Amino acid sequence: MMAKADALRPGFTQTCWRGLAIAHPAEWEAARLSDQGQPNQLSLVDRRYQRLEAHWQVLKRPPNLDAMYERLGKSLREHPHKQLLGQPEWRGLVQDGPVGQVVHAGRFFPAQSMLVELVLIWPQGRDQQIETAILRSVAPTIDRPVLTWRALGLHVELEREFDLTEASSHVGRVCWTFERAKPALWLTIERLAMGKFWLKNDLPSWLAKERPEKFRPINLTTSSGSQSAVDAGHQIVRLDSQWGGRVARLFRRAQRQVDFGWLCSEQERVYRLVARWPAHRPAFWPESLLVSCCRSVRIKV
Amino acid sequence: MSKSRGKPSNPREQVAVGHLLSAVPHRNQAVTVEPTEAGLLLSIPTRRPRWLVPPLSWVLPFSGQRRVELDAPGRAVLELCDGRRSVEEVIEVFALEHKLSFREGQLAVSQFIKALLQRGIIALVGMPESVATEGSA
Repeated sequence: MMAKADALRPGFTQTCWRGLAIAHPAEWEAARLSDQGQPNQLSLVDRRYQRLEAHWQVLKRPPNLDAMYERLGKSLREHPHKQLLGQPEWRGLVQDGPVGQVVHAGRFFPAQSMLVELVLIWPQGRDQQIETAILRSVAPTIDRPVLTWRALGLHVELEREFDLTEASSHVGRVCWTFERAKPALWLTIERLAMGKFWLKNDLPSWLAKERPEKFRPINLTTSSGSQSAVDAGHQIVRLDSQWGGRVARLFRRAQRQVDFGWLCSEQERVYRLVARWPAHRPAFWPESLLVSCCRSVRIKV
Repeated sequence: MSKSRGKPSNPREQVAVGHLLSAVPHRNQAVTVEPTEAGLLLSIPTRRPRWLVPPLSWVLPFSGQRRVELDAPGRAVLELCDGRRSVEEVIEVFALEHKLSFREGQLAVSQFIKALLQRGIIALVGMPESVATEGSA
């Protein structure tokens, strides 16, 4: 996966979301990403305009793409349009609008049974080189054992068994929560900007403050390499805590939580990873978990 | 949808992104500025409401100014609003200084600029007239 990202066209970046990877100009940023239970969707915008919208779904049988785009062409009767040419694996239309052009393109990936539909908006006219690079980069990843999640500056790799149950993005704060049903494990990964303004005290104090009050601290360690964490050069703070008294333990309701935090000085971002699992058994830690800041950080309990 | 039924919606909400980016923020010269430990304390003169006449004015005090405190990032943005840079340039500088992407900077700065506009601390030149005048009213 990393090799693929590294091989990107200059000026391009990759967004990976819910089993779809797509490369696009770096100045196009994600404005909308689908939540759990919603149809898969991704919207990219530049400074002024929406530039790309992607929808994808797994189908039981291959769709008739020619018929799909013929129907779309009929619905666009009032707008001049022509067939999309030069992209043999894609079907679609190029629509001339009052300002610029809109490209509707669709492709079925038989190995993953996935239909991907893209709408590319070209306010200043089509750039066919960029368009081709984007269309060629589209790749379903749902059949891979380790999925990459990459958007809004956050980059996580994690086993496919984990589902993204919550994703929020506020100004300078991106937070994703992943959940694995069996054996149960919750992972929350956050990336926060402008730490020099809001990080008043040191990182351990902030981590302790962010932890829910019901959790009692067990241990606080700081490591810069080999100990409990990490193969990066960042100093990583680890905070172990537990919730639940005797009764909770008796009914197997007690929970363990481990908070990891580190400051990536190159990006000037604070990263926080929270893992929570039932206290009566080990964590069954995902071996593939990787969070990338300026380097790849592999966290281990 | 029901919120806006029968009423024209707020023109500020209708401002196109392009308009906002190319507009130039100018500071209200009547605003007095005091530096504080972390940011700035702004005093904005306000107009006495027409209904505030005796005997109401004997009961309701009128200070003649509204005070707004800005934190350090707010101060940085206000200092970038020098009447020469466009909103887009303000965002670029702010994003570069704080290692944000343009969109992150855009979300933070445009929200903040709208708040300054509503409080009469700045005016935007190069916006549709309805929006620019409402901000300074």
